[in-house]
Amino acid sequence: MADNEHKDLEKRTSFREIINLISLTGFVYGPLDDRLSIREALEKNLKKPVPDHVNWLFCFGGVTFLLFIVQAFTGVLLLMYYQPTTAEAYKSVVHITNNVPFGWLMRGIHHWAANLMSVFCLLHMLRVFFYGAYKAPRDFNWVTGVMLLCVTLGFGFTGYLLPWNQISYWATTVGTEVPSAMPVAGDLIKMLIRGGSDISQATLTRFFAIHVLILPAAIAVFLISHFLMIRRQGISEAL
Amino acid sequence: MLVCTLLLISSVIAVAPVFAENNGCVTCHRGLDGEAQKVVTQWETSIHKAEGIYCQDCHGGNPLVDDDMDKAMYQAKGFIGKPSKKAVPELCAKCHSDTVRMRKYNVRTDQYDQYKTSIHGIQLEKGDTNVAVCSNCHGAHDIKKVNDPGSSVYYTNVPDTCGKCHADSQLMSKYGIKAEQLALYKEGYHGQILYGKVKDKNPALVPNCATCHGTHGATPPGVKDVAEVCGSCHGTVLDKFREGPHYAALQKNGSPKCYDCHGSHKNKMLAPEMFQGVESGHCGACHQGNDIQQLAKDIYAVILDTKGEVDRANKEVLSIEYSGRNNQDIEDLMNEAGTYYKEIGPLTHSLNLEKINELKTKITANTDKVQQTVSEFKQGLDMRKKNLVYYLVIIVLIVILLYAKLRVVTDEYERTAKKKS
Repeated sequence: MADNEHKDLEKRTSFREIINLISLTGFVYGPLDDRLSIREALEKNLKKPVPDHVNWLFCFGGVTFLLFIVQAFTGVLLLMYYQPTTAEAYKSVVHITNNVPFGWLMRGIHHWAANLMSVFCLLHMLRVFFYGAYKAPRDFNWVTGVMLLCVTLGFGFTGYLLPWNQISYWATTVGTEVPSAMPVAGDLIKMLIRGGSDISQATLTRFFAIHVLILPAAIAVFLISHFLMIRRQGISEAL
Repeated sequence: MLVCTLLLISSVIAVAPVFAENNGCVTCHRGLDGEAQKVVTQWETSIHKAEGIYCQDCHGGNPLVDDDMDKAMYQAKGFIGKPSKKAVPELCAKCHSDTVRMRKYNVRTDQYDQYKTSIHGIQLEKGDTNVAVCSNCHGAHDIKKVNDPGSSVYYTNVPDTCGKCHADSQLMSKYGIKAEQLALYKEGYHGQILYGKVKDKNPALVPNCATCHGTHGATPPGVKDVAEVCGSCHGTVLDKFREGPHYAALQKNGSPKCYDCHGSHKNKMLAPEMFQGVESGHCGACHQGNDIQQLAKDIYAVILDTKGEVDRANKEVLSIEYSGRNNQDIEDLMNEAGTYYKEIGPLTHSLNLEKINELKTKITANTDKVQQTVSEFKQGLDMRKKNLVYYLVIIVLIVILLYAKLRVVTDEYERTAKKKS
């Protein structure tokens, strides 16, 4: 009975078409699909069944990845206008928010999605921990996950300095002061992070390079390994 | 035993300073009462006591004697008792005009010379003992440093100190001087600031009586000097005033002086409204029914226009204060406009309409830009709010479709499960 109802519904509203459209499979008809059978691959991937015990708590990892995609997109757009020099950084950020069309929106999204990404990263880790999903054979995926957490926090720490305003300058001063409490190599580490004895153009250049080049490369490597492993090993069984 | 000895020694040490005075006048007068004792207690709080100036330095006498009044205050030995009022300035000058002696205190030594040139000094020379001598302003025994708030010549105490005589109408009527200046000063703008009644103004920077009238060489400023006297603080205003026609008239006819518009003791800060009307201090009080009144009207119109523009722009800035926009750019523009706006006041003293208009142009260039920026931003905000509605509709639609998709998938899944079973 329910079956018939749905069929009628789909006939009436071309539901299938709309659903295809929003699941992106609608875009890849035609010659491209003939050669590469993208549609089939996508269908296969999108229709991969998950175990019965999966609930909304299992979404945190996916949400974190979605937020990362948002960050990459808005970050690239910000990069079009941002200028990583002590003289221009703050001015360019104000320019982005006040004068660039939708700059306020992109910067706002980048800001909030950054915060949420860290939050969901941690929630994802807690879920994995309390479900015992880190145990063998998924133990190595836990390792890549921890690396991803480090990279995410690194993104947060380096990105925070880039607007070059009072709060970012002093937060970075405090943050980079932390390792200097370590014996022997502490001060050396502090100098290495800062690129000098205090926060300066050298620090900004460094943090900018790390934020837009080094960490994106690193996160790509760990994300790929993280996803490959989860695909190969599947979601852990219910306890 | 040792403890007893130590206690004895320490008690002697503790009591020692009391006997260290070792001055017969002080020892004896302390034991008296009334005025004779008061002079000691007053002197003890004075700068003279702190610097080791004792009774005998002014009054003479022998301080080594503390048991025989006749010996201590033996006139042939130079005891002068209470000096006559006429003798006071010279007595103080004995030390205070001594450059060598005063050098280490880094204070002036020309007060006595100055005093002799003042009205007070001249009248005293004529034998008039109503005038102020040193002790009338500085106190006799309780003399304190000028920067001691307890001193009668501390800058906030000066008006009341002068007022002791100059607000005494009975005394002043003998000389044909008005006695209302103190009361007027306290009502005036300078007085209000001095007594801390005007917010954000520093009392230490306003004139008291002495600033304009002088201290030891107390003389009212001459009629033609008034502008210069006011100008010694209000330099920018004086510069602009010199450029204008009023200054030339002042040099020629002795008016208009600063206080013709601003008042003297009860002085006031003038509002743009002074360019209108005929009451005293307004343009119409001297100029009536001629081209000059037209100029006043024009200046008034320019100032009012400019003020309106600045107020409007300020209101606009305030309206988006909490919008989350970084307003540094418009605040910079407003600050610059504010600086130019502050220049209008002094510039009106030149009565140069052209220059005032130049300022107005500079100011309105900024305020126009601010108003334009704010209105564009507000339009943007409205657009954002509208767009938010559209996007929310789209998002809700997507959620509904996803829910539908979920139901389709769930049904399929349940059906296959049934088939299997």
